[in-house]
Amino acid sequence: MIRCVLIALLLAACVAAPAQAGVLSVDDATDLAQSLADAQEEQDVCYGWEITNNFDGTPDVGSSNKGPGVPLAEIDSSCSKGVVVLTGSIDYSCSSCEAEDSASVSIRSSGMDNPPTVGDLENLGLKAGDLTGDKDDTTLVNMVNALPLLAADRGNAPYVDYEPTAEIPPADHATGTPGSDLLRDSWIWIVLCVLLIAAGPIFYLHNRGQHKPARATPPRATPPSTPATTPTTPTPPAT
Amino acid sequence: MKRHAILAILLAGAGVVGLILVFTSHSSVRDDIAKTYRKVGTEKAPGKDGPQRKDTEIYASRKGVTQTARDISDEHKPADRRTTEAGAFLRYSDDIVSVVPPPQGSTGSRILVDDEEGGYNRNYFFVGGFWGTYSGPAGSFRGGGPGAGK
Repeated sequence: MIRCVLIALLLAACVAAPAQAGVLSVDDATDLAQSLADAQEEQDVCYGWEITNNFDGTPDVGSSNKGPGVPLAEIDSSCSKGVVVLTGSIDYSCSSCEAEDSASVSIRSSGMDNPPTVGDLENLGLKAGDLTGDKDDTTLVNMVNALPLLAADRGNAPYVDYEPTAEIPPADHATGTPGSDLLRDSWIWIVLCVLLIAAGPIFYLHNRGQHKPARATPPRATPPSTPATTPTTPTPPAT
Repeated sequence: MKRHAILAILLAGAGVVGLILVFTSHSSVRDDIAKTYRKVGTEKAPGKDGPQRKDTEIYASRKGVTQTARDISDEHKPADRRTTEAGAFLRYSDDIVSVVPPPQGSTGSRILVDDEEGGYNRNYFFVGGFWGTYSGPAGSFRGGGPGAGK
């Protein structure tokens, strides 16, 4: 009986996903829907996102014409140039399971001759796998925000105007240190070169150790040399 | 033994030469953009004046925003990036590169190269809250866009 209860608990622990809220907070989703609504106004293209997950049962959903939390209404008359929706799923594995976290995305579209693709998102450095990482919310915001840009890049709609910020609050500034560009670009070459530099002395010492005689041999005793004996012929006494 | 010593010296020497090449051949993203794209202008960078400040350099690319941003980031991996409906923004150690749509009536894309302060100020509604502080009215994320913050 106890064994059955333990097995049931173990199974429940495996099946149950970690307690976690959705990827985007309400504020994030509101801002995202607002930016899509601005894009829709300029492009006449409707946008949305629908990302399911296995950790709280509530998908991340929102749209340019209905706002956060509401899926895109595809029959909206303001979507005269088409509809683009980012769909996907995030699957977190339980800590005791062998499977790894995974995520996938796709782009559903209609009313467009040349719709954006997932490859376009990857060209911008936005990969589905990052939805399972620490920056899952930033990745999702970037992916959804990119849809109007991609639609315009493919000639389906005009670009959304870029307007630089005229003035920012004096207290606000960039934070964090991006790190060295040289190390980011060339770290693999630097590591290889350092390994080569280290390999030289290691190679030499290794070979010297192999060729070193195992023990010092005492000098071989040489037999005493016999002096060359030349027959001495007695010299005849001088007369 | 002498042969091994020569080989060891060659190995280490190749490493030293490689390191020298890596350090001397590396150019900044600002320099590479200047070599690759057509410069169309320069303007005073947003933010406070200072001796360390650099002007904003503006370039034109024949390719669209996505492809241009990809070309630049393939050549120089950014420390961080932000993609919005109005452009792609790449953050480097000293520079912020904004790849944005071309002026109306043109094709391709525009590239703005700013120092960190200039890039952050210029793109505050897009990168504020992501790459630095944001004391605007919304939450942690800025949707950006022309209507944001107005």
